[in-house]
Amino acid sequence: MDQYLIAMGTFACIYGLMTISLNLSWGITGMVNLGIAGFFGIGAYTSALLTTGLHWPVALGIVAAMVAGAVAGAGLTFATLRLRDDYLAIVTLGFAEIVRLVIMNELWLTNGSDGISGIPAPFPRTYGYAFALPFLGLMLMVLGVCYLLSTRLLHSPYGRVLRAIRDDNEVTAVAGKDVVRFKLKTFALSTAIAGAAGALYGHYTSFIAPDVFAPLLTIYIFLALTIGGTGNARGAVLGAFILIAILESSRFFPHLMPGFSAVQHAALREMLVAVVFVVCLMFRPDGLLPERRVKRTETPRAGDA
Amino acid sequence: MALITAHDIVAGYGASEEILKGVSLHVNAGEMVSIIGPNGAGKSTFLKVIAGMLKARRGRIELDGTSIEALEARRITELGVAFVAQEQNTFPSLSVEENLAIGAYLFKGDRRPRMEAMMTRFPLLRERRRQAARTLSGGQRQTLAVAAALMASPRLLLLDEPSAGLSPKAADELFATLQAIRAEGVAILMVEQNALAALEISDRAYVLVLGRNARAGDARAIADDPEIRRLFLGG
Amino acid sequence: MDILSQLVQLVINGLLSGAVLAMPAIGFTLMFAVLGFPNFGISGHLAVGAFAGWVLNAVYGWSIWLVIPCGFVAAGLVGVATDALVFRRMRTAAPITLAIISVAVTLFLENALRFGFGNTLRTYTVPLTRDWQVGGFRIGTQQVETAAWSLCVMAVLFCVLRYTQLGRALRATADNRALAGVKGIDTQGIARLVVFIGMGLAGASGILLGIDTSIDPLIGFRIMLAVFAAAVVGGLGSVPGAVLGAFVIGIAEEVSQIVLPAVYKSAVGFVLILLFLTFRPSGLLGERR
Repeated sequence: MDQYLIAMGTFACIYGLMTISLNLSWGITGMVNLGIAGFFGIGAYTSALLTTGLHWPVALGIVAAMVAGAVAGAGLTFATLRLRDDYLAIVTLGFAEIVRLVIMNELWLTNGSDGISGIPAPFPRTYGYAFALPFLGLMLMVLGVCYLLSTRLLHSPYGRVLRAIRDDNEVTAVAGKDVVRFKLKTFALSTAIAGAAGALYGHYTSFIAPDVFAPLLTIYIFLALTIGGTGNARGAVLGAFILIAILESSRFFPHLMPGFSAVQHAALREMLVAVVFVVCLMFRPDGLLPERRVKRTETPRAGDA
Repeated sequence: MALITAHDIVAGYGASEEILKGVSLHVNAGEMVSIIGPNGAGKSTFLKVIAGMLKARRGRIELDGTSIEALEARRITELGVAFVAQEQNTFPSLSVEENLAIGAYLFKGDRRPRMEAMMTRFPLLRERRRQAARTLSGGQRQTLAVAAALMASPRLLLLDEPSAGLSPKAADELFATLQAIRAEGVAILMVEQNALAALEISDRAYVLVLGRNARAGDARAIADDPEIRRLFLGG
Repeated sequence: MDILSQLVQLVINGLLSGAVLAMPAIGFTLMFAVLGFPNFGISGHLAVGAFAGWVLNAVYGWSIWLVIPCGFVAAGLVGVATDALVFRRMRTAAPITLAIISVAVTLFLENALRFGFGNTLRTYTVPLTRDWQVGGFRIGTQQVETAAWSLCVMAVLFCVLRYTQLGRALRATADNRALAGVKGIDTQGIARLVVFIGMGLAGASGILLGIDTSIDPLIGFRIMLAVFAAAVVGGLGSVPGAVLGAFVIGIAEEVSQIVLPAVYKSAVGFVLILLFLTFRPSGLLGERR
């Protein structure tokens, strides 16, 4: 049972990295990343391929995964930065699908739907606590660093610019801040973190396959962030842990509803996720730990004199 | 008897901010009335409240003695109040003709005679009847906006800065048109940056300052008042 | 077959598939123009239409041509229902929040279908026809029929939008919602109608797509990228643009097969999205932004 809790804690940390990533882009700057699963996948495969194929050290693999995530993120936003945020949503949604397509079909590189196994861990993979505990420790550390980093960012002058960008694109552009550069950097940073999460996932489980980062994963991360509260890293991390608890407890779902097939149970579970997500956004859009912000008094637009 | 009366209107946009802090005003049938005042006085906001685009927090608006402050904008249009906003007052991708047709959207009869009459009054609209509104110049677009508002056969026309962005010649033409419209019995309430020109053709005027009534009276008297001239009329 | 006639054959195929693609693309772009957000619910509704049609056709034995309008109505009604349950309560939310919710709506609908019908591939009962041979080119009669269906629907829609007062009111609402309200247009009603038409178009196209191959709950998800690409290439918010964009994407996907493996067909749409957003974000016929 303790082993199980440790494993769940580790997964929650991995999800937590992704919610922090999403919080950086969506929660803070308002740039929506509907392809976060794709960046997770890119990170996972980059590190897995480099450490298994070219025998790079795990740490270097993770760094490479972050670079790959950042490059892909910067490349994608480049086309849409000057446009409305809707366009980024379309592009990122499409991107995740393309990543999946490539990984499924470039068998020579990725082994297709069979996935990659035997991915090395940062320290010897023994049974019992000797591996699981240190890895959880490592994950908590990484999560802590990302958490501190993003709270620091949030409260820096840079963070204030980011939030101003989220609240009003035009105002910040008028204020002379280089909005485009800020947005590009933030998005690349967030996708780098998603890449790192993917890499760590691979190094933890030793096996990755395309179905790990199905579009559903993206919805999970949005759900976690919505539950926890957008705009602050505490909410993001809390949301990830609650999400894992919900997902794990829904494993007992089939016992409550006998008489359905496995496919039907899976379908019910995903329907439930969709409903919970929509209900959260409708009735508690600020989450459990809402961002504490100064109440902005709306000013009339020019010409409303 | 007054066509429209507003009593002690309080309104604003945000959660707390009040732009209008209690404005009262009336317009008689067939009368031309101007609202003047410095920037931030709440002139445009006041027109939006009457048109039903912004709900007043307090106060009453009566049209022919029935209160309309709780009605939707479309219901107020139906009752004979047409509003021409300062900006975005036409449908850019619709043709001139289509803009006019939408202007008479609530009119269930045959729209063609009205449209013909409107295009006879504004020949430039006939010339460009199939052109998209976005291709018109600023002055032409303003004419189209007024014409589309008139398509609803209003009893009261609300105009927000009708001459903004127009050349002096186009502005003169517009004011002449307004006088002609008024001569047909349509009451006009307008907010105008070019206050002197507006006062010249108006019957009465109200001066708003910081969301409150400051002065009211005969347009000529207000235009001649030395203090008002010094403060708002640049002379 | 030499390269030139191969190219002609691919262009013919592309035109035929583009005609079907145009329907959901119009739906997507129309909803974007009037509701102001990209409604990703389109892929779930496309699948709903396809399965509604399958039940009537394969289970109750209705003729496939009778079933297509039914698919339109079924998906349209589901669209109006989700709109009433979710989106209408959130009209003041940021467009991007609505877009994210629409992804969840698709997730829900696809899984509801998976719950009821499983993941198995299903086919419609259609009369078998022989392909035409015209001057050495092969033209699928089935494809021609589905393309003709799609063109008819589009012609009707075009006439309604262009020549009726309702169509004008719809375009006026897309142009300037606040002003449309002042002019007396029931903008809520227009929004509901647009959702019905948009999702209905997706639903009907789900059947047309399924006639050619087979259907499963992810049928909409698979052509999602092509739909977005058609709308973006044509200019998001422009109906004629969506039609043109659909033909461009249809042809590009087919022609790309000369150099690319067929599995990468949907990548073509993605590449075109990126190219257009970088160099011509307003698309071929877009006017906004």
